[in-house]
This record gives sequence, structure tokens and C-alpha cells, in this order.
Amino acid sequence: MAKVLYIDFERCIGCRACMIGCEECSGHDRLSRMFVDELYPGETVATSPTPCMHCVTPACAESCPVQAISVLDGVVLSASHEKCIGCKNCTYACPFGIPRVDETRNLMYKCDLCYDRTSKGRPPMCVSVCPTDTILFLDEEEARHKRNKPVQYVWDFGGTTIETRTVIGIPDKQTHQFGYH
Amino acid sequence: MQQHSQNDDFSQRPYEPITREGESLVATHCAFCGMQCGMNIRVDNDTMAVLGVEPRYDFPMNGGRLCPKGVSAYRQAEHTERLLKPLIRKNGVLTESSWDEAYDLIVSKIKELQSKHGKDTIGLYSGSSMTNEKCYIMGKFARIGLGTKHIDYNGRYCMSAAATGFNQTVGIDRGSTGPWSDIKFADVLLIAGSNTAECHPLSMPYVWGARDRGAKLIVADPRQTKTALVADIHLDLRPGTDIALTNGILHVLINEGLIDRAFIDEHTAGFEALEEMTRKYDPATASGITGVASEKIVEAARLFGRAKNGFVLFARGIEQHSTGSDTVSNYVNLCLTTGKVGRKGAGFATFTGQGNGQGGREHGQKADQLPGYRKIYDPAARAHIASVWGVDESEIPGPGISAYEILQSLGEEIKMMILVCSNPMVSAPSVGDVGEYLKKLDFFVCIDMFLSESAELADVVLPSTVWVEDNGTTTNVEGRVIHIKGIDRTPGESKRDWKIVCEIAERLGRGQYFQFDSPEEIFNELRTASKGGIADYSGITYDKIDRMNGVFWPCPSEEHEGTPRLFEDLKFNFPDGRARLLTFEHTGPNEKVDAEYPIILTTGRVVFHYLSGNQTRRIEALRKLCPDPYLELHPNLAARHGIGNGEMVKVSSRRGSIFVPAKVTKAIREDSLFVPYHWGKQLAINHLTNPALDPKSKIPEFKVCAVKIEKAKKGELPNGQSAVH
Amino acid sequence: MNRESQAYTAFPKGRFFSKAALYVCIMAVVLLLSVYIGSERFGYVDLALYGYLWATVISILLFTARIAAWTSRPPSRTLWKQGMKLFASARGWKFLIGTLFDNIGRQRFISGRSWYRWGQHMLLSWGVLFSFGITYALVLNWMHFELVEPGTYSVVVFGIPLFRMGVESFLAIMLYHGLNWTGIAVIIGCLMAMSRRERDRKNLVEQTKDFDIFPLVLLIAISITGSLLTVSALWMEGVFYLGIALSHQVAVCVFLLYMPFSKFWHIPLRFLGVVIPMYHASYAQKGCSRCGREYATERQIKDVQAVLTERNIPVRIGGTNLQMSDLCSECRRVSNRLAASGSFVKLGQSQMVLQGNGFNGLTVVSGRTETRGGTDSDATAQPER
Repeated sequence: MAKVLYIDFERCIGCRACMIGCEECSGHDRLSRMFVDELYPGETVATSPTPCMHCVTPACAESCPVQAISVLDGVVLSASHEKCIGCKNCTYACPFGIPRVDETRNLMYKCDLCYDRTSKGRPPMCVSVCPTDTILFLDEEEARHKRNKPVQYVWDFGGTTIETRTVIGIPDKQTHQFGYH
Repeated sequence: MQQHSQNDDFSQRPYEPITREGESLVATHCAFCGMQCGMNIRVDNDTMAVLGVEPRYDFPMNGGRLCPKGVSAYRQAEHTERLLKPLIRKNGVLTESSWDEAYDLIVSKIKELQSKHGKDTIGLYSGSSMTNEKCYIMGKFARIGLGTKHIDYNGRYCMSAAATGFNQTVGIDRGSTGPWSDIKFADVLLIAGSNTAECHPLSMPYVWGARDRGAKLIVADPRQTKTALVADIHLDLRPGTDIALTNGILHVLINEGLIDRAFIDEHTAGFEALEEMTRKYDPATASGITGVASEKIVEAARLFGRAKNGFVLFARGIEQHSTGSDTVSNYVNLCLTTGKVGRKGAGFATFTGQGNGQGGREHGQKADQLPGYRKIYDPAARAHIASVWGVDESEIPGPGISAYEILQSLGEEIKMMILVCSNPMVSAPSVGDVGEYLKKLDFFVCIDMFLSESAELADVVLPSTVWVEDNGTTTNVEGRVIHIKGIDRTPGESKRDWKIVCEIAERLGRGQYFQFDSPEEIFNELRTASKGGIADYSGITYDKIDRMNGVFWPCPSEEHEGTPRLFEDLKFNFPDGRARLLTFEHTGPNEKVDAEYPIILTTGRVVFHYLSGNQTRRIEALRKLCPDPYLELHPNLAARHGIGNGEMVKVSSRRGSIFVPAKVTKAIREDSLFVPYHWGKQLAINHLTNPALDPKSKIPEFKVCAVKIEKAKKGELPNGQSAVH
Repeated sequence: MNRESQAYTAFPKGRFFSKAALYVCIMAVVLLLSVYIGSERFGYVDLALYGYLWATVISILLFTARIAAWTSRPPSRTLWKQGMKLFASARGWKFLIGTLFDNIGRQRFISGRSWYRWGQHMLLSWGVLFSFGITYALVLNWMHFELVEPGTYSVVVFGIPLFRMGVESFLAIMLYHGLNWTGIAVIIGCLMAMSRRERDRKNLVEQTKDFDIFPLVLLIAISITGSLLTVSALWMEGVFYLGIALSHQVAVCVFLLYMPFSKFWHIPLRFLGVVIPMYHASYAQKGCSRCGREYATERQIKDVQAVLTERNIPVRIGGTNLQMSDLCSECRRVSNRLAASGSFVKLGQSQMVLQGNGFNGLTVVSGRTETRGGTDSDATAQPER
């Protein structure tokens, strides 16, 4: 069964190992495709990682004027080197804020689920290094239903439904086990 | 690989690393903190170039997981700023020279100064980020190579308080009483003075693992760290008041009958005095001293006391104080009074800061210590070591003085210093004074792989190798001895640290004691030397380490499988087998706030940098994420001084001042400030810190000093303020 | 490793067929006319190039169909229109010439990747572009040489004698052998590209075999057979000439028919790319609705939102006129997380406060105009990384 990323961001300690680890994957050109953001800067130290959500209907690809963004086995890839013209449409279209354009090379880049590793049956680099298991690589079914936690993978943006393969765990607001008061 | 059953509860994962064509993997460990996470280094088969890192999923401690420092550690190996030739100061400038010239100069200076001022005129200031083999050889080199009593190491700033505290309370100093997997099985965790998420990120699988099992979490820290954010109770105490806090908790434990009477009666001594003394630390009193709400103290005591199993974890936050070792003992008292020790899920531990902070303090590079955790003034220990070394017992000098005291006596008792694997110009307290001390030296030799802030001041700098270019063992936070595997290369003319001292010894005519061709030969001598000592490594071999993924000391014979958990028989390391319940009054920090310097400054680490930053500040990925130090202050305090987020602030203590940008955050107490310490020169917060030493352990009081702040005026900033190195 | 990535293609089918048919018809007529004029009423049709002629015509028509299909996709059409506006102003022309020089002339985008790749790409691209120029001109009979007096050629383009040159002159030799020079450039470029692929074999994701190696092999085949024609004719007294000529023709025809659907499709895209700098520079910047940081132009955000709306996936923020693209990337990431945590998201640039809509999207908090009690803060942590 296909494996997907599962993010339980309550566990994140903001160490950014995933961001540097991402640079280590072959084919990533030493450019990190991972994000770690402070959620309440100045208030608390809570952080969250965000990888590509790998939408079933990717808005980035829909917005690309040159069809540079393709999908491989359900994984939304970075823009093709030869087609991408650096227009940045994808960086604005993505409701999750993922694609970036490298200004020096005029090229969009984003998470490709470490194709080099996952094609060999290993977890992506961010999953491999994450010290807290905030980022996991699970069977899609398990990520969606069996983690004992409310999750997000179908998103309703004002009437538009977007289904994503990456699954986000929602903080546990009953027991506050990881501190989201 | 088949795991030893000792590792069953750890966090290994069932994947093989990826090996790529034309490359090999070297299964080794991280260069940085005491977790000593396993990692594979990717090496090019033809050029031996270090290419990258690959997770080592099968290593129990971290299961391939790494923090940002670990991921990028390999990037120092191919770094353009590495020292590749010896440097000698000629006409005031460090100039590339030959090894022969450097050795001749060093040896002639040693001979000249020793004949003029006596053997003890040379000080060896070493470090704890080296392998056990190197640490051992440094102690031996000082005692019978140079014949000086003056050797001490930077672990004095780091682990010495915990060591002294453990020794006085349970009679043995192993950082953790149990394997790290024990943490997962605690019902309550008390983490004090440790920013675990940033400083030991790879402990988080265990802390979170306990949390997943429903464990309660109590965090004592002046700052809201990530662990504090999650805690059930955050004891946000005023820096330097840990003894009052623990006395308050002990008061509640005793008062509410949450103690384990049977355990106390059978396995400890000194309870009556403790009961008597803590009587006056009722929650209200403790609250008044610590600034923690008294309900929180009561609640913490109840959570801790009622739990069946519990672990107390602490780090430099409670240790780097002029009462550091006593604070350690008082935290251990919490475990001893409630009988939480010697079984799965119950015990206490200190987070080792340096890579080999544990092993480095066991094998004789401390001023008063011989290998195997033996005392240098113990005649039996001296006789044993003399026989291993093949010298007369009288040739081994007596105890020397501690690291900061060595720095203070430079130019006086000590005219020449050899500095190995350390950077006191960043890491020592009151670093402005340290610069003055170093200038008074007649001759200053430094062994390092980069030109650190301290090396810049040396007369001779000898280029050493990075960690992954040598074999050896280190001992991690749990007391697990592990194998650092290296690549067989020495870039440029660099040499391994142990090789350098052996060659100097040879030229001093002491070569017969330093005939080693490999780290394994040194380790085999270390095993014999440690035999029968407290830290007994005699049953540990490289093969066994590889087979078992590390061996826990004590391991007294080759058949022995090591000792993952101490005190399972509830016998403590005193003749009567009883742990000592010692009593401590709150005295507070050495320097207290006053009208002129009204705010408390505390210092610490960030996740992106390691110690003095000599390595991590050179790694671009880490430098980008954290280029400069900053000043954490509470919005109310900032408002009172008219300081906005990101504005430059002048922070001053009685010893010095620096300029740092403000980071306004509610994550810190209103009466305190925090600045990370990894930077040198005008960015070094250690210009301000207080060199007051704990009389027992000689650890300096890095964690509290009195300061004032003011918004920087225009034109006041020094040039070259920003980052890089 | 040979799994083929599936291009994410979604375009309205009906519109495509009618438009494509129209454009292909127009192009066919234009081509016919150009051949008619170029060959001076079919007077100079070079029958040796008859096979090439048909392959070229079909190739161009296929290209036309592909471009038609492509411009029917909303984002492409939007950018196409933006490009057309460029021609309306002097500033636009200035930009156009500047970026043409940067992107096509010296190909700055690739020197940023590496100088090796730049060299390789310069050789390949200019080799191929010049080859196209010469081939089209000859095959479509747009240009031919007329011997006007012994030892002097007249170069005739679209029936108009352009200039004269000596049969043995330097210029003439450069022209006759034009395809040889470009062929050599292409061979060197291809070899550089292949050796780089061998070296960087780890960069797998994009480089599936048929999409990448085949075009290189094809280019080499064309160049080598083409060069062999010259070798055979000049130095070997025409040995094997017919066989070589036939294989060259086959290779070229395959190439021409394959081109519109292959890696070479990126050539027209590169020309479109010259629009981008102007598009980014001509309009006012827009601040993020949450943190206020400027992150895009007003125009482009409007364009992207229109495109997504047309494609029926507008990512709206409930109860507002905003879409997610009105926030900068970081605020989009953070807002999703805040909503999931049950916190309010305060839009710093207006009085609006958002919260989760219960279905993993965002919606405005009704009746609230300011935050109190929520745990959101106004600040964002750091500049976009």
C-alpha cells in the first residue's frame, strides 16, 4: 500500500533537523524543501513542520502555465528543470504555502517525498531524522484512520474540496498531552 | 543486525541504510553532545572524501534520528577553514611551518621552562569532546610525559558539579542510573534546568515516549522551553533558587507522607537531619524565594510523590552554580526519599553536555583523578596505575588545580600551557579576564582542527583531525561505551591528537611510555588501568561494542555483558551500602541583583550550535539558522526600557558588556534575561558571566549573574558586530 | 526506475478541438503560401528534399496543435495575454530585448546551475536552433542559391535576391557547411550532457530514460549521419552516400515528428519565459493580508485566483472575499496550523479574525472585529526562507 507523510505537529520541538536533513537527499540539490514555522512567535515556543501535502488535485500544477509540475505515483514533483520558467504562479496558488522559486537558478522546487529514498523502500530524509517522530511515513490507511487522533486530509476551502495525501494530526485539545492549551 | 536484549526498549527502526555506488558507509557516531547518536558517514571509495550522512536506523539510542547539528556534523570534514599545517607565530603572525620546526620549538620551550621553574610550570588544558583513548593519553602525558600535576579539562565547566553531587550522595558518578529507555517507563518525569528539546533533542523520543504512555511531566526552568510548554507543571523558578525549590518539594513530600519510609530506613542515611532542615521550607517560604506559586510546588510534590515510578533528569541549569554539586544532591534526594531508583522507570540522570562528557571525566584528565575513576591521592590507586604505566609510584604527581584556576594562575605558577580540544576564549566565564591571563603566558601551544578564538592567541597551533578521521570509543549519557569508527585519512599535514602528544613525549625522551600505533592499543592499556576501579572498562573490547551496539560500564570481565542499570540491588557505593541524604540550606547565587544591576542573566545553548561554536559556527546550514546571539526578554521588561523586538541592547555586568539584538518573548521570566553563549569576541556573553566557583566541584556560576540593560545608542555599536565567526 | 511521470494535464477538451482545428488550418495555408512564394511559384522546389518537406510541414502543424491545446489552459492563456500586452509599450520592448538576450542569448538561467551545464546547453541550443533555421529555410524553399554568373551565387530569399557572393568565398563555405558546424556543436553538447548524466545518475526523479536519453541519441544520430554525408561527398568520392542520406533522412523525419511531444517542447516555452521578468516588474506589490509583508504583485495574485476559479478550485477563505493566495506562504502554513489548534488567526491588515471552519478550511469569525483572548500573535517569526 502507498505510504504517506503523517505530521503530528504537537510533538515538534522546532529543531529544524528535517530542514537540514532534506538537503541531504540525492536530487535535492542541497536545497531544503521543508518548512518549520513558529506558530505564536513571542508568545510560546510552539512550532510546526510543513512538507508538501501532495494534493490529489494540485493547485500548483493547475496554475502552472507551462505544465512543468507532474505527478508520479501520487507524488507531486518539483517543476521540470527544462520547462519551469520561474513565474511563481505555483507559490501563490498552493493553499498550504509550499512551492518556492530559487532565484539564482530561476527554478521552482518543492518536496518530492525523497524519491531517491522512497523508491528504495526507505523513509524520506525528514522522517528519518526527525528526533520526535513528529513526521512519520505510514500506510495511507493507517495515517488516515488508525492513529487514534482527529486528522486532516480533506480540506474545505470555502466550498472547494482539496484532498491531500499528506495527513495532519490535529492537536489533542482534550488531554493537552503535548501542550496545546 | 540482531539486537542485544538490553536494547529492546530503545528506538531503533527496521530499515537498512542506503549504500550508493562508489561509496562506503562508516558506521560511527555524532561529533557533538553526550547522546552520541549513531550515524553513517558516506565516504567516496576513491578519494576518501566525506560526502554526506546516511541514517543509522539500527542504532538503539536514536534509530537514525538526528538533530540539525548531527545532520550537518560531517560538513566540518571537508571544510575549507581546516588547519592543514602547523602554525608558528613569527614576527607576531601565525605562519605555516613544518612539524619538525614546531616540535623542536615546543620541546625546547618545555625543557627551558621546566629547568627554570620546575616541572609543574606546564599546564595541560584538555577537553571532553575527545575519545576515551585521547582523554586517557592526555592524563598520562601530563603526569609522566611532562611530569606536571597541572592537568584539567573543560568538563570542569560542564559535568563536574553532577560528578561531585553523585559522588557525595551515591558514591559513584555515572551520568544515568539506568539505560535511557528507562525514561519511557516513568510515570512522572521531573526535568530540571535542562532545555532538553534544544540541547539533547534525541532524548525527546524517550520523554515523548513516556508522555505517550501517559506520564506526567514537571519542568523546572526559568524559561518556557518546548518541554516546559508541554509540562503538566512548569516550575518557572528564579535562576539560582533550585535548592529552595527542592527543599520545598521535600517538605511537602515528608509532610504529606509521600515518602518511602521502608526504603529510607534500609538504604539511606541522614533522613532525620533532612526532615528537620526542610521543616522551615514550607510551600509559602519556598515560593517566596523561588518566585514559583506555592500551589505549583505542592502539586509538583504530589505528582512526583504519588507516582510509582519516576525519573529525575537535570542538566547545566541546576549545575552551573556556586552551589551546583549540592543542588544535584538535593534533586537526587527527591528520588531517594521516595524510593525511585534501581528499577525500570525509576532513577535519576544528568544530561551529558559534551560528546564524551562521561568518559572524559573517568580516565584521568581531571586534576585529582587517575584512570578508572580512581583518586590521585589514594595510595592503592597510585600503585596500581604506576604498575600499569611501568613507572615508580613517586613519578606520578599529586593533585593539581581546576580548569578556571589554571587560567587564573597563568603567568604565575604556570608559564606554559598546552590547550587541546577546547576553546576557553568562548567557554570560560568572564572571558575578558581569560584573554588577559593568556597574554601572561611565556609560551602557549594549541591543538585544534580550526583556528578557534583561543588558537588565534597561541604561539604554536598544531593541526589535528576531525572526529571521523580517527578510531576510538566514547561513553554516552547513559554510561554506554560506544565505538567511533573513523576514515583512514589525515588531510594535509594534520595528525591525530594522540599521535601528536606521543611524538612530543618521544622527543622529551619519554617515548617508552607512549609506544602506541593505534587507538585500540591505547584502549587496551586503558582497560587494564581501569580494572578494579569504579569505572571498570576491563571487560570491554571494540568487538564487543560492535556486537552489542555499545557496552555499559562497569564491565569487569570479558564474559560480563555490562551494567545497563545501577543499584538494582539497592546497594549504594559506600561501605555501608547506604545512600547519603545530605541537607542543604538555600544560600542563593554568589552574585545577587541590586539597584545597579537589577536583572538576572542566565545563559545556555541553542539547538543549532555546540559549545564554543568553533565547529558549528563554521557550518553554513547551522549558521544560517542561527547567525548571532540574541537577548530573550519579557515584553514587560522590554517595554520598561523602551526596547522593541530586534533592536540592539547593551547588556552589562560588573565584568563586561556586549551588544545583542532583543528577542521579546513571553517565554522568559520578567526578572531574567537569556543569551546563548556559543560566540566569541564581541559577541561572547561570557564577558559578563561570574567566575565564582562552587567550592566542592569548582564549576563556575555561568547560570546566574546580575546585569543591567539599556537600548543601544546610535553610533555606539562596535564595528563588525555581525556574525560569521 | 523507468516509471514515467504523468504530466499533470488538465485542459478543456471541447474548446481545444475547435481551436486546434482552426489554428492548424490557418497554419497550413500560411505554410503553403510561404512555400509558393519562396519557391517562386514552385519553380525551385528541390525534389531531393521532398521527404523532409512533408515531415517539416507535419511537424509544424503538430506544433501548432500542441500550442493551441496549451494556450487553452487557463494559466497559459493568462500568461499569453500578459505577454501580448508587452508589445504595446516601449518599456515592454526594452524588457523583451533584455530578457531575450539574458534567457535565450546568454542563457543566464542555466549558468546559475553550473558552468558546465551552461556550456553544454549553449552548444546544444544554438546548434539546434541554427540547424532549424537552415533546414526550414532550405526545405520549405524559403531560400535558394542562383548561379548568376560563373563563380558568383545570388542568395534568394522569398524570391528576392538578397546578396551575391563568390562560389569559393569564405562566406559561401560557411553557408554551405552551416549544418556541419551546427552538427559539431550538437555532438559536443550531447556528449557533455550524456557524461553529466552518467556522473549524476543519482538525480533520478526527472530523468526517466525515454524522456531524456532518447532525444540525445536522436540528435547525435542526425548530426553524425549529416556530417558523414559531407565526409562521403568531399573525401570518399561518394562511398555509401545513398545509404547515409537515407538514414539521415529517416533520423531527421523521426526527430521532426517526435519534436512537438518531447523534451524539445521546452524550446517554445523558453521563448514564453521572456515575458516573466516584465510581468513581475510591471505591477504594484501586494502585502500579505495577515502580516503585511510584500510577497507578490496585485496583478499576479488576481491572475492566479482567476485561473483557479476557472478551473473550479478557488481556495477561498470562508465569509470573505479573500483566497488563501491573499496570504504569504508562511502565513498560509501558519494559519492552517493555528486553525487546526483551535486558535484564532488575526488578519493584521484588516479587522478580520479567522478560525477553522470545522472542515479544515478557514472562515471568518462572525461578529468579531478584534482579537481578545485568542492566542494568535500579530508577528510572524522571520522573513520568508
